[in-house]
Amino acid sequence: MNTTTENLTKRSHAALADATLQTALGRATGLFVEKRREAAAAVTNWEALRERARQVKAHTIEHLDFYLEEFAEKVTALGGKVVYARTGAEVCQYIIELAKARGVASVVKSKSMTTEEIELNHALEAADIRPFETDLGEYIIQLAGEKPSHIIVPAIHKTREQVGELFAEKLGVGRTDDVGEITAIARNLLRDEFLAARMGITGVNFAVAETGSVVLVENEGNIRFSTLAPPIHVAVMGIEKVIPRFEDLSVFLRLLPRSGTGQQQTAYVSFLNGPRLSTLPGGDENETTDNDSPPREFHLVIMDNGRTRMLADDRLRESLNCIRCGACLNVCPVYQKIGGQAYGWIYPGPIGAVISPQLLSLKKAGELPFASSLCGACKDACPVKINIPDLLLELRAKVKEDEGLQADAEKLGERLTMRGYAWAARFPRLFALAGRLVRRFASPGVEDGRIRQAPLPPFNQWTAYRDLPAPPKKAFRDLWKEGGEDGDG
Amino acid sequence: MGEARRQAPQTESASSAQTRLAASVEAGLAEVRRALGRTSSERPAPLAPFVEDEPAFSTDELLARFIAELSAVGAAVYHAPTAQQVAAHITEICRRPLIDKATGKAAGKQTGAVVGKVALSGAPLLGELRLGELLSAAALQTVASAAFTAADSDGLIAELAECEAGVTAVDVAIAETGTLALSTDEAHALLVSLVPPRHIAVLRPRQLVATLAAAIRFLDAERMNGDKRGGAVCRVATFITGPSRTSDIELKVSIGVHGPVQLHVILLEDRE
Repeated sequence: MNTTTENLTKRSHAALADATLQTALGRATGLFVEKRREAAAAVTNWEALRERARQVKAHTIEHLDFYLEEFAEKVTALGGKVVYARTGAEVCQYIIELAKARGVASVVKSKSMTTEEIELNHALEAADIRPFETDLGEYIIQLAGEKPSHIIVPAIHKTREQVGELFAEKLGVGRTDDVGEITAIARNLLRDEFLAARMGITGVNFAVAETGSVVLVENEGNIRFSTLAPPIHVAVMGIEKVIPRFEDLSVFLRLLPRSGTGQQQTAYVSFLNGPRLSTLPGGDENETTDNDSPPREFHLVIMDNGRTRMLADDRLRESLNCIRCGACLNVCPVYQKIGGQAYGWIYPGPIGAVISPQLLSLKKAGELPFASSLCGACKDACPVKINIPDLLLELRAKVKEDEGLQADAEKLGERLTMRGYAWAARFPRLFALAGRLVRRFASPGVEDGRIRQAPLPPFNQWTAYRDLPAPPKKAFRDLWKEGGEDGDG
Repeated sequence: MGEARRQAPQTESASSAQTRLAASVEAGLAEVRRALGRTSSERPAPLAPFVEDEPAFSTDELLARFIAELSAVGAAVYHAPTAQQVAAHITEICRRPLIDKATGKAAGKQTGAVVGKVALSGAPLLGELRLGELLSAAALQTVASAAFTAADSDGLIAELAECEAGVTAVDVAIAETGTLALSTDEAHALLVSLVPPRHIAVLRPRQLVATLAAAIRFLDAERMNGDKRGGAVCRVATFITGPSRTSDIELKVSIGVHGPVQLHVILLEDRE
């Protein structure tokens, strides 16, 4: 797997220097934050909904074995085919084998982070099967050969001029900067593909264990087309997408659109129960289809790809509660400045910083949990109340414990400093002396109550990005000895 | 494998394929159990039900809210006391030109004196209103989706692509968000409401419920009834809120992406 989460700093600097990106990110995140706030404020029992969602997700993940089995059984009883894939490669292999067996030359796909995670398009193309991304934002980045920069609006980093240029170049259409015209061009082109494709591939927003229902939300109509037009529908889901009961949908379907885009409801919500019948309701199930019409099939691919590892850690298990709304991205001061591509993999923002190190490895994505001021805005925005700051701290501890990183020469200075501090702190007089020396030598560097540039490492690394407060004239221990402030407090 | 094997999947190397797939699911579930530190799975005690305040509203209150929300999401609203009025609205909607922004041409096919084709779903309400006859009288050619077998979905889609509009009824509508709920108990309603550039939905005010929660309960009950009828489970249901849209480019809202460009809702009053 080719990932690039190393060198986060380098990519962040590049993102900060990109004026177009900064404008796009500022506009997108600003608007989403405002709309989410308004949408939440209009729901009188918003906090009760969040708590209920948290409760349902926590309960489901604790009993995922039971609910996943119930879901798989219900889908099978409805006539769907259920497969479990341990890795992304197994998912791709199953889909390719199925496509080959059915003579599928092209597929239409809806936006699915899960399929991006496993690079399904790449695998399909290598097997001579043409995948068409049908969500407009995904279609744009597919044409551009880029990765998504946001979970909900993947092409937000592109201006309308850039998109018009891209369409003219790749599709041979006339160049236009008009958003309505660009959309209409995509609509017409993709309409042909919906009708030609023999397979539609989607993700899953919610998998209802009680009924075997697959629920999908969207605004464009591409999911409806992908699931209704082609004869074969393949849905790919991570193990964590299950919710126990149909009635739970009334909580999640209120939280998801408001958290993701600030809408009261998305344009379309589809509820799919098994494959569509090849006969009319009430018709004869034995009615034969004529040779030109292939029977309808529904395939449900349940994917692990590292999720059982997350499940096994009872402190990190909460990461699986995510419903992929994107609210945490929009409020994150880090994401707002660097955007999604700087994170180097599919899942950006606070939740990306939590799940990427777990799905990939601490080695590959270990720097992500440190790219946070722990402000907690994500925790407040999360509709299922995931305690992201706690998870980030847990991951930071894991990264530090990891043997591979301790051997890193760059960290030698940090290790020695920490060891030195820990040693000196055991001797009160030594500690006090060290404090007096720091106060003596740091004072000249103070301007307006702050130290902007510390001359020596490791302090200079700190002051490269932050100011230090001026050291006090007297240490607390001295004030305490003198009787300090009012004795009565 | 290949072209020769066009059998339904149930008969394709039946026992071996099924067993192989079932084995992968069993193995996967065993991994999940292991991760949770268990060797067997038991049904957990369910969570206590989620209790919310659900105030009752009069039909007039629901209607007022529904109309406001429909307008807010960009759906056009009409009132029709009679079937003739419904047909008149549909005719007028189809007469207003809808220009494809990419080609500059009118959407749908318009030839000569015939304004165009309109698709009607198999909903009983549309039959009761005798819309087929009324629209033909207004020089609109009607396509009855119920005439297509479920197996000939491709043929239906091709026909729908030439229609000016698709007309459906609804199962239930949600006042708080201006949402229409459709299911396959209306044969082909879902394609009729998706493929043509205009979707026209006809409903009576008494079909309104206040909240999403109420609509979910309705869908659940419908599914349960289907189970009791012995298998005619509601296979696909869709909630529709406004015309299709995207804001993928610079967050600028663009109406009419893959789904219909226009959504029209005709409220059939059964009084006055």
